[in-house]
Amino acid sequence: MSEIMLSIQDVGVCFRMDANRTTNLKEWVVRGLKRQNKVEDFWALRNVSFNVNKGEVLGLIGRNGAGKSTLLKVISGIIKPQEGTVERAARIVPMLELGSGFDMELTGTENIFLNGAILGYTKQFLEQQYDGIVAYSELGNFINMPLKTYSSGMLARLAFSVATMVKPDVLIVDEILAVGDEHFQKKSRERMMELMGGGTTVLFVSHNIAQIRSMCQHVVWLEHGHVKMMGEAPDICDQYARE
Amino acid sequence: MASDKETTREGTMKRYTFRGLGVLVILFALIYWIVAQSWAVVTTTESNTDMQYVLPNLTSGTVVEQRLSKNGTQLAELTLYPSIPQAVQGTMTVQALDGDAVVGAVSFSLDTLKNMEGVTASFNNASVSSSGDLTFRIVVEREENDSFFSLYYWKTIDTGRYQVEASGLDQLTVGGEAVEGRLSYALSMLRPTNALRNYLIVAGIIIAAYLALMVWTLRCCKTGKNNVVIVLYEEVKRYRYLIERLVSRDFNTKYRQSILGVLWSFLNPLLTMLVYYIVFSTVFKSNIPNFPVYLLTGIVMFNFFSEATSMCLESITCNASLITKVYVPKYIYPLSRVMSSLVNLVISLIPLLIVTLITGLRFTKSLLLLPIPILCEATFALGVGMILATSNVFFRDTKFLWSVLIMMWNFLTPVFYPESIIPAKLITLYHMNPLYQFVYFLRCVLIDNVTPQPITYLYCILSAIIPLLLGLYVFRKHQNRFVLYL
Repeated sequence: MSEIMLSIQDVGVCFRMDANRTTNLKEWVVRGLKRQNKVEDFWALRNVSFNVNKGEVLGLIGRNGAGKSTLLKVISGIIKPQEGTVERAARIVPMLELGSGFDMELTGTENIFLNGAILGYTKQFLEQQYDGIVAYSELGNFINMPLKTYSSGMLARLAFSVATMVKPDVLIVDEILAVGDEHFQKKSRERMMELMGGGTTVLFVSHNIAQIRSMCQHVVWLEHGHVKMMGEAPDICDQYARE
Repeated sequence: MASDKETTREGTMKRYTFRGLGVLVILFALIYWIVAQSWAVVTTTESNTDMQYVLPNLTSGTVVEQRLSKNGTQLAELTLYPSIPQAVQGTMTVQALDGDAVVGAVSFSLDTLKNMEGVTASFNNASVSSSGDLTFRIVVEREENDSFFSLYYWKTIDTGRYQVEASGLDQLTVGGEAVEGRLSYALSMLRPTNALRNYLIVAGIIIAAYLALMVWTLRCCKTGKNNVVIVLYEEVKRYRYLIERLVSRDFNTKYRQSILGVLWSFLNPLLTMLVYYIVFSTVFKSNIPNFPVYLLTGIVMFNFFSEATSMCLESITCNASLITKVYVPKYIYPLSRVMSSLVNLVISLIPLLIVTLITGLRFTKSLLLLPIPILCEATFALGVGMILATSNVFFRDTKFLWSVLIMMWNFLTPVFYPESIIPAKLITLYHMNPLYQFVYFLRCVLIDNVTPQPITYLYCILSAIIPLLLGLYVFRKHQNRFVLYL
């Protein structure tokens, strides 16, 4: 019996679509007086339940707007679901978007520590990892320059190095990240494969069915916020490809 | 494995319990040492310096007697108001009698007195009995009786709405004959208070509550349960480094690419003070004593509040890219903003202390109380900031509204004007402003070199805690919806 790392029970996330969203007091009062503050409920996720075992690689597929990204945000704790519960047995490092905690005014070094702190690492740990990160990112002396002087490729390389510096217990991947020039793309793809292959629990979102088929044991197919199908990877992928 | 972790946590908690206890005891003892002298007795002053009438010419040998009720157990000083149009040779002796016993006497040479200017007889805190009245006997000795010398007195008090006659209790006699009214006077007496006893009781209660909390925590550690202290400890341990990084980011980005850098943190209040000083000491002719220090305390404290709240206000909306991508407890953002403002404040205390020394003021032990108003204000700013941050997520108008409100608040706080310009009717309401209390506290410590009275402490602590609880409540209630509006 394998250990359950992640347990998702009846999760529902509801976005209130104010027919015309008000972020300003005057409009809100005026609409309120006219009784136009109508809200429409939009369930981005509803009745989603599944478990993820330790060491399992689970694929999430579905069309645009099916709720995949919302589900990842619920799992990583960014959005709190209105219904249901998410139980996590370990620390989760989301890799939703690279470099989201970067500050363009700060230098590369400062950003490594800031971003590491945001991801929840301790000072000692970051100091240990620092040299490795710098070496991996191949930034050299640019590490002491403000981020605003970086090219987009350099930025992506630094972000990737920080995000993948450690093997987390649960890794959440929104599309395989291959960044930078050809050389670095190859390197980063290898690193991703290494992370996903080495017994880590992985939640993997992709539109590339071939990748899903080759990497995942189980697949969850989301459609309009509901689980349409769930099961062994080859079966689900075949069904999905047919549609 | 799990039990191992629990025992180490229990060990850590035990260590922190003893450390915390030590810190609390030392803190309370230190405050006791600082405040003991000023809290043991309170000075009460009764006065009516209204100069309505003048007694007849006081010739040599005339005795004026004024009975006054006591408002303390030690006699500090009595101020009287002479009428002396021309120079007069002679002496005036003021005797204080408690019942029949003379408790003190002070003599003045008449040529040192000035017309209509108070003359103060100091009785060196002589002890008096707690019952009965005090009698002041004024005896005048002079060589000739032609020129005029007398004392002012009054018959009615003008309360603003109606006039009250002087009560009959306090008898005024001139040469043995009763005169209706009372001398124009100011009487200061010292009265012992219970403040220190109450302080010790409160300190005892707080230490007992702390011990109870820690015993409960240690028991929770044993059984593996969580309580508020354990959760707090874990959160601090986990996010301390993040807060440190966020504060350092705020600080680094603020002064990046400016030539003077951190110097601005203390040049800024200094220059603001200079502008106010020039404007108010030349154009408006302000006569506040120690005006530079008075100004600078107000500016430093108000700037801190204004900066901290304005930064908190945007802490959620500015970090939208983080909040929607990574999970971090959201209170971290306003908290880190207040802390970076606090660092700024500590830096701007340096010019404040320098100016204090330059203008001739001296530091006493009351300076050690400096952190109290500052920490209270930081807590207050955090509470207000959390409410503002919440509000700004849903209504971006908050930002613009707040810039107007903060300006109003500036005028409601005595930063550059004396408190005395506030009408007496509004003064209680005026004192309700928490910022007034913080600034007042700091000025007591820096300018007057005394600790404020207990009521100011109480007010400062309440105006820190209540807004914080309110802010936490509002913030917690809405924080799950933030991400939907960013």
